[in-house]
Amino acid sequence: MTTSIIEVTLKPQFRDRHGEHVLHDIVDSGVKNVRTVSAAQVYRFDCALGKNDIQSIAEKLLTDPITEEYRINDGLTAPKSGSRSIYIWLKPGVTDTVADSVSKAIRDLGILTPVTIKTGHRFTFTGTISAVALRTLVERLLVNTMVQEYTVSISRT
Amino acid sequence: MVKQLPRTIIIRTAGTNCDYETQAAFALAGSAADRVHINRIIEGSVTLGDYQILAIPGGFSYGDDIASGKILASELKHRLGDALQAFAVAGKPIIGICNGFQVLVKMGLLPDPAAFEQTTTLTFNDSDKFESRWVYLKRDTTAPAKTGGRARAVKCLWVSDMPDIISLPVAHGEGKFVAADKKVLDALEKNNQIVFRYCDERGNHTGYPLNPNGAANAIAGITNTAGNVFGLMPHPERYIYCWQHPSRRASEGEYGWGLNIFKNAVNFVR
Repeated sequence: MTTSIIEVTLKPQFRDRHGEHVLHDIVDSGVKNVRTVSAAQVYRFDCALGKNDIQSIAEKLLTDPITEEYRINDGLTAPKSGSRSIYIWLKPGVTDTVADSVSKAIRDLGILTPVTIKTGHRFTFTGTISAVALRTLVERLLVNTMVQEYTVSISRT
Repeated sequence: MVKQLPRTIIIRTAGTNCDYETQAAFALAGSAADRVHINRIIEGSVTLGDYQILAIPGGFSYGDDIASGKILASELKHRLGDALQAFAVAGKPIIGICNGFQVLVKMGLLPDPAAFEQTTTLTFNDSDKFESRWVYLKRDTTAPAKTGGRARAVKCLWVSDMPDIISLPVAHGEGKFVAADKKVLDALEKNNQIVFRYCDERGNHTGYPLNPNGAANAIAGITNTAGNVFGLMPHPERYIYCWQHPSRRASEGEYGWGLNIFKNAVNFVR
């Protein structure tokens, strides 16, 4: 059983409108020192599938080949220099309906190995915001703490 | 002897929510339309070959999870791909409305059913919001300058009898048409595969909010080169009677312009 994290983001040539929308909300809330926000869809797979199968699922199912690209087991350990990322997941025990849909779609691809899936979101921020201020902001704007939990990942440089 | 009505299959699944309206539109247009769950086709109790017209209606199939239309597109392609491709290549009318359009492009049945590969998509609106309102659409009748400016009506059986400018309602969060690259977009233009573009009341191409999603070249609907497979983001099934329009505009008597789209396909197969 291995864990794989798949992150799906827009290709660089496409504007991240959702990230821009979140940035707009941040500015509206009175916080001025966040410079950019980028958004990503995140999937966590716990399963006995090999690397090729995981890659095939990411490519055929989780990514739009026209506008998106994916990374596997990269984002959580390597946030961009000078940035902070938050990962938002549903709390254990909360039904993950997107994960149920993804499981069904994986079976449609002919892959019948059981996969335990969690789905979530990643937001990456650049700017001079402190970790404390970021947590306040995230809890105010992005996370429903009744059903969601989050982790903060900070770049080393 | 009573002549049988043309038969239409409307494929539905979890999250489909425009299937009843689509059925009503086809019935008014003169077709016997069945709403069929995808599982009935997969298990073999219903056969696509028994129908003359196929429709994938609007809605939020599988909750729009992953991306709008993505899971249904994958399911159709991997479980029913051969039958769907045969239906399209045989020249039978296929329509995908809103979520159905997203499904058609994401499984690759548009713009080229023979290739059956995804080369275009419908992605998040530029506004990052769900856009729900009436829009104007111009049927493409003018070839782009690259083809020498020759006027050629778009070859699509679904719009053969229509005014050049109509209005229909849109309701989507992921309706921005994007092509894989300039070559794909240019080919759509050159081959006259763009059926509808967003426009103003006079037919002039324009930006937001009249183009509700920021679609490339203001594209609202496309067809294949044969003109039998048609996908569009606006909802023709929501304008089959004039009283459905905010200004009660009518095409013929009490009917709305959306009905023409369904009638064109039904008349084609009669």
